[in-house]
Amino acid sequence: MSKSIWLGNELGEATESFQIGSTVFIAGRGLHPATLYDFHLLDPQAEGKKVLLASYTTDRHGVLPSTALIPYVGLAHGGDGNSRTYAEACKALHGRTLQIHVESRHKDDRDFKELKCAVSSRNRESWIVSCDGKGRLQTGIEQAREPLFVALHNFPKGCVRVYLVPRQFGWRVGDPIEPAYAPSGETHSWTFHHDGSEERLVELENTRNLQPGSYQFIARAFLPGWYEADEEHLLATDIVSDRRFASLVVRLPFHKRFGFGNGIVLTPEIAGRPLAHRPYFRFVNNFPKGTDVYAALDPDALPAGLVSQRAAIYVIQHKTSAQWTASSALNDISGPGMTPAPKIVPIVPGCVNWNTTLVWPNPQVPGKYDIAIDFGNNAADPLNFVSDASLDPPMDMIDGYIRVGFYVTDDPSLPGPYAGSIGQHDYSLGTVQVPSTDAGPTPTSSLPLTATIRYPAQANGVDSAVASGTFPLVVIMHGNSGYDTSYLGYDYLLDHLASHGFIAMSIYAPVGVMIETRARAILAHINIMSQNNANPGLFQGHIDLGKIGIAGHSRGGESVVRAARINTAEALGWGIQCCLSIAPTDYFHYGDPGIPIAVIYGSNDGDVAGTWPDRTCFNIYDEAGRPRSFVFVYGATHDQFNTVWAPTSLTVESDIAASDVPHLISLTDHENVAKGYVTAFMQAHLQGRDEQLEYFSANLKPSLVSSLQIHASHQVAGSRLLDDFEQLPHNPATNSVGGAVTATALSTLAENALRTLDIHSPHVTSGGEVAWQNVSGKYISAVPISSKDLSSYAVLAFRVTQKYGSAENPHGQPQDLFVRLTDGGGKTRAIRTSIFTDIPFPYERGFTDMIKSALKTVRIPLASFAIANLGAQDVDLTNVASVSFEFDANPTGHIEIDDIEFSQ
Amino acid sequence: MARNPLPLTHYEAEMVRMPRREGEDKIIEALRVIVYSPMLPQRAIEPELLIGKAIAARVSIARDQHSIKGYFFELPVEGQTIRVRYGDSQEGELRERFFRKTIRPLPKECAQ
Repeated sequence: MSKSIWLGNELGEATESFQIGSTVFIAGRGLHPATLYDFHLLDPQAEGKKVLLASYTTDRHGVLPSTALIPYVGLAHGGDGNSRTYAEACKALHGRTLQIHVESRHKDDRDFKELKCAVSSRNRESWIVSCDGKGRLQTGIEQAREPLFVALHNFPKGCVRVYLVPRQFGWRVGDPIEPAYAPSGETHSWTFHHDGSEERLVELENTRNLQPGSYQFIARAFLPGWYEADEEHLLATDIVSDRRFASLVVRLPFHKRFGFGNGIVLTPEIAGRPLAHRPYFRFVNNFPKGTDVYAALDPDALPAGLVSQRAAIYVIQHKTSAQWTASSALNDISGPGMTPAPKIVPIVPGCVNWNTTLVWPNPQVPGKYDIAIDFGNNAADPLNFVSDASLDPPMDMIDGYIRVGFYVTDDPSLPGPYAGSIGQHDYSLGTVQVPSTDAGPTPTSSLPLTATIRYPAQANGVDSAVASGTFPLVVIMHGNSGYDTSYLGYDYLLDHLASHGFIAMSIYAPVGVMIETRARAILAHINIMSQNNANPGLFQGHIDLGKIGIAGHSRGGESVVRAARINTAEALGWGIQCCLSIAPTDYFHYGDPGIPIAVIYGSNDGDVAGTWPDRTCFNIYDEAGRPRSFVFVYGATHDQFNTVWAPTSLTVESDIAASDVPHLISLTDHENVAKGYVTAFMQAHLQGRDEQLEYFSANLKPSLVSSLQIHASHQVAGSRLLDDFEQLPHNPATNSVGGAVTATALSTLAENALRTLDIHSPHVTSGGEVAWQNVSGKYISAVPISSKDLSSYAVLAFRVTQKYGSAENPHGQPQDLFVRLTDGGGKTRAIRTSIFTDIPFPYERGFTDMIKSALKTVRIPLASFAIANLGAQDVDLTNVASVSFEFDANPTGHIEIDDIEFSQ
Repeated sequence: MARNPLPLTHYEAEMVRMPRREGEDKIIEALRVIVYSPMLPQRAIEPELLIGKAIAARVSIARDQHSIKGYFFELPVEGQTIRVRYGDSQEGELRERFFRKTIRPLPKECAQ
């Protein structure tokens, strides 16, 4: 392939002609792989000086993805940091040809012709641009400070409708138009008559009615009565303000985003991946090894005084708070062999939004990383821009810092190293009698000993020789159905686990048997596998019996808890290290299994849904000891984790309403959820892969389910409790360790069993209920002197949910709050919860009595409160006096909280 | 008769301006009929919207699958039945019939 680099427009078409206000993109192919290329503007008005526009990298194939090079030609004016009106831009640039010089950092790659960019005024085509009241380009504004204007150019006489839509990194004809919502619930679209003038300024809205976020405009011209006027998808004739990046970022004022003069450095989401379909780009934090890392940015707050028109992007290894304290240096590792290769990107002053940029091609080293944006010397003139390779708050930004920006992973949802050499073995060893109730030994159930096994092998095939070495054992027990083949419904999971180095088996239980029988079946099959390990045969010497994990689905999910307890109570000695329950029942409330447990539960479970047996899958979690994890999967059902049950899922799961069906996730999604989370859990507890616990504790999602809404909870042993709200009689004015709880400007403060406080609560614990109706609301829980030294703990954790049905929670919106720590010396700092995770709106389903106000854990590193930070007070973690929840983020809200604690 | 029923609830009718065929410059006035249902699935089989024996053109199901719309270039006959069908698989008929008095006229303004 011949090497070439070319200029293009936002539709990806190669061109050398650009109209005022359009954006110049650069792209290439046949170039050196993973190599930096510098693009300079040769400025004849600056005596031919070269102005660095950008430094971009090619991917592993030598392709330079199409990336913005000169945004808003002529409108975003270089030099003084101001933007221009269209007329001013035409006067300055119409008829000029800009020259762009390309340089490769590769020594054998120097012979590029200069690219030409001919600039002209607009022809008669219609276009729309975000502007201020004087018609000057305005791509970022603070909420409630300025009115919202757009400039319409060349729209025909007739009607015009303008939609404000959440930003997509791409638009295609047919994409749904889903206008942004105002806090009142009204959508943002405006229809007006247009007199046909060539240029028209239109004031649309006061920005106090706009939610902070990133937006684009879509303008539609039509005649009264036009048949497509109300179409809710993008028409070929619609005009989109910008197709590849945000046209307008509505930001919170800096002090509000980071609160109370404290906060931490700007930590927006930056790392992500382009998609082939809408929304065309998604921010993610999991990059399976070899996945190109892209970056995009629409900051939701900007510090005052940011005038730079260039920024440097650094991909760095994640640093501990101690490392940050020691040095703010940014050491980029995104070049070949982890060598430095920081990128330079052009930005629009006052906005800083830019489109997707490849920042790390083909990463090969699993680990934790951050992406930092360095504004260097913050020079208004790009000619003078210099990166200083240092993170300097409050100006510079970072996706990461205290939290992890992104992970390069051996992803648990992807096939493991043994994929392609998986053995299969089935056995059926007759029938034994086992107790059928936990009051046993009689009555008994007749239990056929039937199982199917997948294992790492020397080659694919039935009874193929086991691969060399010993492997942990995973036993899966299915739930109840009318199918005698239920145990064959997890083949996908067995294959997957085997590919990751587990001997994985699914075992049979007769139709209708209850929990005890299933638990006894698990133990009986472990005994069989123990004999197989000891005796000559396929598995001899290959099973690590000290590393056994048990998993179950539905009744099987409850039976793993029972099996773990029997193993301990009857001193059976099997090396069961962990258990995992998918959509478990909880008939018998066995309680703590005594080993680590994880629960996976679908928000649209139509069987164990809350009406029968008047319990939900949260019971098993709430009743378990520590460590415990919970994975709440929005849109998942009960049956679809089992492929035998899946075809009849909608018939059997009678608690799925017809209106739920369009919102259900797919069968493949269910499988990927199970593959990702079961594998990560078993890797953590059976293969010593502690880092995989971050799929439960750190908002990390397996890559194949990154598009799903999954809310994970994780609680560890050895925590220091501040308040679990269980003390009797309930008293909201005191926490569990005797500290005073005080409230300021709260409309509700209560403590009780959560099911008493909220009919939508699925929990069997007590908790606190807090509501506020203005931003002055505060909840302050005092830390007694005996508990003040928190220096040996890593995180402040609590469980929280929005209360479903409360008018104080904006419908469908995530909730947010600040958490403040204050020390005995009066030093104090507040951290916004959404920096670490969201507090989602409860999943809505057709049968409203099954909507759940489901708690999830928030884990805020204590280092957030103590790390050195410009303008912020450093809290003394050896002398903490109080923990506060402050409700400055949203004017109203209604939440439930539980388990406020300090932990690892 | 279709094998399965298709529940329909009500309809709306209004006059619109449109080209008879996509891409044509000539604009005509046509009748747009929208029929509502608890569920109008997107299926392999294309649905048809009929008033009496007249079959609507450019039929499309809304994204929420709760309505279907189509266009008539000549006004259907007064008092005819309004039906939606998926071949011989699924069919529904509105209890109310088509009457011209229900048609909203062409708007003169740029209504929201």
